[in-house]
Amino acid sequence: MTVVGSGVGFWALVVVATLVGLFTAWTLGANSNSPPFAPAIGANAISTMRAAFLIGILATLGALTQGGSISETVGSGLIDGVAITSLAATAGLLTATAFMAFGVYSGYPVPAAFATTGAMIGVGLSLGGTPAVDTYRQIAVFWALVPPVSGGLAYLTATILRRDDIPETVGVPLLAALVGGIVANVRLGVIPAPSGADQGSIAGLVAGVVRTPTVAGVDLGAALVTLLVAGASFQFIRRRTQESVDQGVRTFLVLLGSVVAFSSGGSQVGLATGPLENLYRVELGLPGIALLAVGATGILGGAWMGAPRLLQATSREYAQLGVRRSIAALVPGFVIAQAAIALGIPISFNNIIISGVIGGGLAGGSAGVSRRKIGVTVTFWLLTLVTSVAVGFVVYRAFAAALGV
Amino acid sequence: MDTTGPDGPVLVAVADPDHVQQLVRTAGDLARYGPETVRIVTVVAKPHDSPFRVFADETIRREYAGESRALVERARTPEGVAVEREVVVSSSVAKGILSAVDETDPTALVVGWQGRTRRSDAVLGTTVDRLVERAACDLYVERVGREADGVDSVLLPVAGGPHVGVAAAVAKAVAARNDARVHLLSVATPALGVDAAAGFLDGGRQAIAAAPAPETPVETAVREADDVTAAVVAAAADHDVVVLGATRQGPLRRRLVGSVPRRVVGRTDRTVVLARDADVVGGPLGRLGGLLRR
Repeated sequence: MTVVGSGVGFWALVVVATLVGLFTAWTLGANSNSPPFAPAIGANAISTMRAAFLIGILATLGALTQGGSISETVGSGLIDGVAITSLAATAGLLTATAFMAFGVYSGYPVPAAFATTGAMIGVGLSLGGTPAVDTYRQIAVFWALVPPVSGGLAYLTATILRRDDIPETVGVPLLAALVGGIVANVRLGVIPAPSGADQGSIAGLVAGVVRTPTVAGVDLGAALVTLLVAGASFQFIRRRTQESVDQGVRTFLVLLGSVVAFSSGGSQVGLATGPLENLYRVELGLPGIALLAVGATGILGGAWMGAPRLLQATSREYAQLGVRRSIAALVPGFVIAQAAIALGIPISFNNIIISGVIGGGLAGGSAGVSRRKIGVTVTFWLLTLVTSVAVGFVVYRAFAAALGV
Repeated sequence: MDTTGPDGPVLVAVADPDHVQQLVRTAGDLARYGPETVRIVTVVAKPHDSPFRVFADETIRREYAGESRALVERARTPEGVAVEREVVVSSSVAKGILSAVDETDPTALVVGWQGRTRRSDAVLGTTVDRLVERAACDLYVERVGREADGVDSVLLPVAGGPHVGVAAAVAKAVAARNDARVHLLSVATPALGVDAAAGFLDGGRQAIAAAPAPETPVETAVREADDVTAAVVAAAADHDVVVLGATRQGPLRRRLVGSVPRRVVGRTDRTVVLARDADVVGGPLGRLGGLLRR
């Protein structure tokens, strides 16, 4: 639908859509990046300002290298049969941003991922597209699995860390090994991938350079690299914990925070850039990294401007949660964010962390959660999803009517 | 609003351990000749994006409230009043205080104010602004950190606004505890004239007579000046506490607190208490805001 053509109107819409995308990324950067380092700050492992600085850098790197898959899903995976025009992208982004702003202003839980996904479906349907039911099914299954998996992982992690017969010099390094192993396998846009694969990982890269045999569908080289990285992570944190448990745990908190911040950037940027995918890649013919750079810039600005204030508040909360349960909440956050990135499924980082915090709490005996509050939260998640589809639909119709498209 | 008026305790909201005592003392002064009960509350805010928001209030109070509990428990009981203490869990500080107001129907609410706001869109600070706008009870905003050592004289500038009654109540209560006097000041600008300014003094005297605290010496003065702010600031130098009516109320934030009080607090180092009457709260815009904000 290149109705507007390549006149002034087209370029005006490109500028407007880009600015709205930038603003959305800014909002995401300011509001969703504080959890990763909050526990580290709470444990006095890093200062607030340094953490805010690091969060901005790491989230931006994550956005640049890992943002592509979710961005593609949001931009072209949710609706079949039509391409999202710049006007539609603007309508979708404005709808999603309005929902997020409503959440911030009103104090109701409005997850960005739900608002964006809903808005883009609404806009796509309004354009005359057909629903991509298979994608919805995948997304729905993933979202439904997040609470039990995140909560379960957190419960497991907290239990390992709490057990007296597993000393911290073993438990913490084991978690470091797990995280390291996953890091070796995360898909990064900057690593050249062999033809056929979409994105390369560190393990895949090494395995591709050094020719190794494949056994039972598993590339031995990749497996070896994974084990090496995991082993190195284990050894590094083990040394630190042996010198001083406190020191080792703090080091782990900072490293864990770093990879979580990285994943957070990679999983959030697509919510802002996704709607612009068709415009940038098809209509303007730009490479994917150009669009991600726009989103990453917004995330960086938002994180640097907004994070210090939020960090002060959240770090106090995590300090009360304690180191063990903080780790227990962050490990599943990292694992699930990377799974979502690998599968290209938009997620809200906060939703994962909430389940993680509850799971970690259960390991300590009782979770002490309020059924009413969980009910309200889940209700608002669902309401966000449903109403954003409707609002996105109406907003695009209104835009199109107003501009005579 | 019922005609008998609220009969709940004097509510005092505290957050900073350094200022608890100052605010509790003022609340105690107000309660001593009224409900004889002070309710000290502090709010644990779990905002919308906090993962801790799904915990039960009881869990949050017990495990995730930090120093809040110690904060209210350590506050000393003012002489002659009973004290209740509560930790309120809410999504924001302002909302927590407002819900405490709804629940206890307080005679008055006392809150502190740092004297500076970091947000350019706020008059006194985002939280205090919302309380001025929305708290449906008499409200006293005391500037914290500049407490007078002993009080000999309380300055009460009057200009006939709707808040003179509540302002007189706190001025008289503070003066009564300290055996101090209340100094009523009316500024006669050329536009207003001396007669009208003297008329405001009568209103002030009546308001002080009607306030519940025991009789205190009252002085009055009309000062002729071109600029009200400058006259009040100059007069403040001779007194220990300055009580100002909030003078204006409107649906728009900029008009929450009149320009004179705002400028006066910026130019005096005395203890300043802003007084705002319960009756000015409401209106359709306020209610709309109440529906939208949690």
